[in-house]
Amino acid sequence: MTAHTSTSQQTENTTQPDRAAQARMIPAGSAVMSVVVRVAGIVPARLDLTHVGTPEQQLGLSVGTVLVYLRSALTARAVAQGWGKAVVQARSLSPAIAGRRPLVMGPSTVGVIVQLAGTPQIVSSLVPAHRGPDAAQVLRIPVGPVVWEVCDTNAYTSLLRAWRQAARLLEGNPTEFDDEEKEI
Amino acid sequence: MWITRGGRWRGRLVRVTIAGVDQPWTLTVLPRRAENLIELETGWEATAEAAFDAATEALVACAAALGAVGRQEYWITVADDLTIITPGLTSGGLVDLVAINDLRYQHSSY
Repeated sequence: MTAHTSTSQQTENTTQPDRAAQARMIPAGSAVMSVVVRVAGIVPARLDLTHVGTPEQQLGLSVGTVLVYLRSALTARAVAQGWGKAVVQARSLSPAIAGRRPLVMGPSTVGVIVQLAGTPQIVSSLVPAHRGPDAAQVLRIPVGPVVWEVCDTNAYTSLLRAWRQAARLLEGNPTEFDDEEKEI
Repeated sequence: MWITRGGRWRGRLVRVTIAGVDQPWTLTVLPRRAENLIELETGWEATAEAAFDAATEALVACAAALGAVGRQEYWITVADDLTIITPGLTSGGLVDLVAINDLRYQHSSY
């Protein structure tokens, strides 16, 4: 018991508690850990930049039924770069899949709200169509808590354009968050 | 390894795992301002999952050794499956090794 308390004190003194590591701990109660979003065809995207030039500046990026809140250009740029690198795999997707249901747009139809911060890890992997005859090949790109399953190149390019637009909008309106961060 | 289907799904790629045939894995890096990939480590494992685990372990070791410069584009190839990884950063400005390590468990279902 005493040994345990002494080690915890030591770590507190030497290093700051990592917020990302704390977020990974099991919470009391329930928490949504990840959401899988499947996108196909041209995905409508909408960008809303509010409180421009103030520390409360926030960019709302609505992609289909997902609303992503971004505060720093660093985050948006990291995601846009990660998406851009996945082009190697997106090349082997089919150009378009016949849409089964149109995606509706608007603030009242948002399904998930995500707050992205820091520099997220971007991983892209191509899941081959081997599970069932109707399960098409998808490109899996987890961005923070949202796992994007991109079914065709139309969806890939429209989402890439949205992330790049978000990065450009936030880069044009830097706040003190961006000044603190160094060039990555 | 990949083979192509016949019949209705002709020409589509299918991944097949043949028992007793080891799966190769490769960990490569595309350093910043570089044009070509540099091979870091390679190996063979009994299954595709074990091969991905081994490649992830090697990636964690490489990223940890590089420190803050370790945020580069890494490619993991298991048989013919390619995974591109760009590590994130912690609030301390170091490469998020825990997030890289988490990939092993997420990938085991595929």
